[in-house]
Amino acid sequence: MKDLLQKLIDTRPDGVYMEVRYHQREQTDIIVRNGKLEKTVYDDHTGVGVRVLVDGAFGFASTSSLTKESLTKTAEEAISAAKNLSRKIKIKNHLAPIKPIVDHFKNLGSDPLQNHSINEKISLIMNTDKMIHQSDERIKGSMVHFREPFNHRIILNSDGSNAEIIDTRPDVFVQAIASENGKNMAFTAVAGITGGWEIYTKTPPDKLAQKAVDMSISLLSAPLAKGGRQAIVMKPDVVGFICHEAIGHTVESDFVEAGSVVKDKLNQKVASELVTMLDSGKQKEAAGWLPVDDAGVECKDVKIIENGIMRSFLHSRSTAYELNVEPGGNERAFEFNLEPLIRMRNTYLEPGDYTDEELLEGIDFGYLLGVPQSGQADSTAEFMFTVNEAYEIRKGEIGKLVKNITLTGDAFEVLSTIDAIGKNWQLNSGSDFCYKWQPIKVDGGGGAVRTKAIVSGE
Amino acid sequence: MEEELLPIIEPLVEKARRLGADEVEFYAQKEKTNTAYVESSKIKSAISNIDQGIGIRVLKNKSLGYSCTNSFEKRKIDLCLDKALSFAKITPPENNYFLGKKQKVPKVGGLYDANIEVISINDCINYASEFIEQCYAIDKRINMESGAFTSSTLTNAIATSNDISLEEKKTVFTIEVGGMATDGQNIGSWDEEYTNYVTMKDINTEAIAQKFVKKIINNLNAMKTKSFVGDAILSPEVMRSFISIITRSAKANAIQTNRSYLCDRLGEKIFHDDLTIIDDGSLPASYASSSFDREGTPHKEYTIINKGIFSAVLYDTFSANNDSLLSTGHARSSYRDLPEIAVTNIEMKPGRMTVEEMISETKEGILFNRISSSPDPISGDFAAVLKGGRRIKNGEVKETLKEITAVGNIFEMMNSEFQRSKEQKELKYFESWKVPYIKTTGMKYIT
Repeated sequence: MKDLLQKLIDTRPDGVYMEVRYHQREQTDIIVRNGKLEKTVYDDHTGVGVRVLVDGAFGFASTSSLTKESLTKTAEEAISAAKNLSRKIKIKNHLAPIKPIVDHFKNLGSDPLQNHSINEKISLIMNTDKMIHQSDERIKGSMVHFREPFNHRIILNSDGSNAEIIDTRPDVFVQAIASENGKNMAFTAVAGITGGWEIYTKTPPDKLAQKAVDMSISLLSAPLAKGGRQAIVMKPDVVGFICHEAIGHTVESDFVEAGSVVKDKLNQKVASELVTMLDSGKQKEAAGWLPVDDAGVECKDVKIIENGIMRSFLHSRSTAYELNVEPGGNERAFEFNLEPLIRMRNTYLEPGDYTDEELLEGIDFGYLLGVPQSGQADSTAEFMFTVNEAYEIRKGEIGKLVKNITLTGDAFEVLSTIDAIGKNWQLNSGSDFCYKWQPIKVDGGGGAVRTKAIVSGE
Repeated sequence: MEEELLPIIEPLVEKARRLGADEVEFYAQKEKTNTAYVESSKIKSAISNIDQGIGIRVLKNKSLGYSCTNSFEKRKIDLCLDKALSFAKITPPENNYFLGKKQKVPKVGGLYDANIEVISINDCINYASEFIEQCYAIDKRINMESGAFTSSTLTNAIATSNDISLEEKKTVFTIEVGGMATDGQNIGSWDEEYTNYVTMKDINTEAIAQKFVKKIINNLNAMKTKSFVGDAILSPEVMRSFISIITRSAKANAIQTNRSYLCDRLGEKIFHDDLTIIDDGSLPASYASSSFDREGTPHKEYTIINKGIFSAVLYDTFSANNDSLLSTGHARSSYRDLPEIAVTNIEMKPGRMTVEEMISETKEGILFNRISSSPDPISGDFAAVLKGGRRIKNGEVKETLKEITAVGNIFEMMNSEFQRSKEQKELKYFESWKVPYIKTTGMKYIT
């Protein structure tokens, strides 16, 4: 395959920049719901995507037919599309220079998933589901989902990059639904990594099941939070969400160019000086691990905020050219038939010096936010996310569980109000996908932080 | 019409039976798309794609296996069939696992337009270019963060061991745009506009440009306010997200697995008299329609909520088998997954008031534009951050608000007194929603 792809690049017409990306994505999904094996699905999605830059315009085409003829035709279609576009656009795209990368990378974990049979997985998933149902009579519903994608990418570009990446990025979702007096509450415990079977040993499904059961039952009688601006301590999972949703999306250069709130904030103070935020592909077990992006650019750490000062945005090669900076490897595509877009990888806050206990000290009343559920960002840096596990803090002590918390506020105000960051650093937000035209695996985390934000409630 | 996909999958049915399948379903798709992709108010790239593949559902002794491939190569299809059969040999059997029977399938009209099929990449570029110019002509403060102008020709085909053999070709032109307005340091909230057209003559970029620009310009100059309790006028976009919680609760698989507010409540009066919700996958000239669903079942009209009464459960074949009923034709998914229950063309019936009258009769409240929220589908609880919500004071729309959250419960809200506008907005994507504005009282706003 590599030879075919290289030949495509070698025979491109003069004046054409070309990226060729082979991506085999195989995914197995197993879902059990209420004791019934609902889904055992194998999905093979394989093909080649060709992106070209011709006279300042990008063209993209893809094919699932891997013959020489089909690949040649696909490249011609991409070139033709770019030529058509180049005649219409006034502002041309250019690419920042890169140092080509020629290497191969493998991240299947210490115990590759392929070492384990489908029978073993079905048995594990059925037992986990059974455990949920046998745990308490108030449990009326359950779901356990193992998602195991295998990726094999070969990425070549006409600037000399030639990289091969093989990885698996499993997710596990375990849900319990508790019911009492006509009221239903659900809780889903999750995990997601780059690696192999260790997802099931480091975050055992039975532990996730117990967590889902305990939480769904406790939420049945949990009160709403007290609404308004409150002191909060965000655990690393929630910090990962705020780094990703509230800050990360606003610093993606396509969003910056369109006028996001950070447009004029480079080298300005945007957060407490305790805050240093990075986007990195280096952490090997994190779901956003990435050595080379889909444009053939070697991944580097991008320091977004350093000691409270905004230092960098996340770039494609073309946006990096416009700002005369080095691209950090943030162009990513979910599958072969999608064009790479500017995306995050693992986005996190550097740790601080505080213990978990010290973070709670001095809070007369507030909330400890443990497990985020979903969230969204805005061009204004106003963020929203729901938190599934949140507790009152009273006089520095953790109190009762509250339900249905939604956290909102201006992300930079929240970061500016941070007065303490925990030393217990974790990357723990790797389950499921981030969506921006196409899904992508990312991760996030940091040390826990103490700050203030608007909490929904009574 | 010449068949493209049936000649590939029909012969495979017999082959699967020879290899040991008791029942088998082949579902094939081929979609050709041309897209002009916009980034930062510029056309960034031109994309030409073909996505095609086959999904194979196999039953062996009532055990299920599913596998799919995005290739029509014999070797790949054979591997895929082997995989589905191997899964079906190891998964536990279920009594409700049997495929649907062949039914008469009336053709739904207006789903294919040869003029859309021939929309070229150049045409898409022209539409995008025209749209950007139209937006800037209305107001220069807009920024189109991203957008896609896509023509698509989609062919779906199904062949099963129960003699179902169907193929249908559909065309659509889709506009999706998102962005925000900026005026100096004043940055408005992000918003989006999207729609699709199944006939070439209806494509109207100017109308979408007008709606998009109006939305994002209104989001400028947002101000903070204090917490209060007041009325709420919910836009069709907001109502769509709320009603989708109700339609989701009407799906048989949610009911059968205790994940629905509507469990064991068919025929019960649950919501206010003014709530009527209809789904009809056989509506002509709608992209959400088709002559047959993902399992070859024809579509027809179903009233899900009739004057507040829960009147119809939505089924696919397996969930219908569970209740010894027939599928209602609500199976949907691409070739890459097992069928799931999904709605098609949803309409929430309108009222008699105009939106203007609703506003003029409001002493204090908020006109919702968009919400950022993840309502709990089981309890109906929501805490929604309002985006571009505008204060209404003494019958007049005033300033745009920011950093404000509304808290409530969707099911309780739809069981209380509310008003519906006579105007409805059509929100068209994979599903189509025709929804009025709703006015409700006693909403708690938190800042």
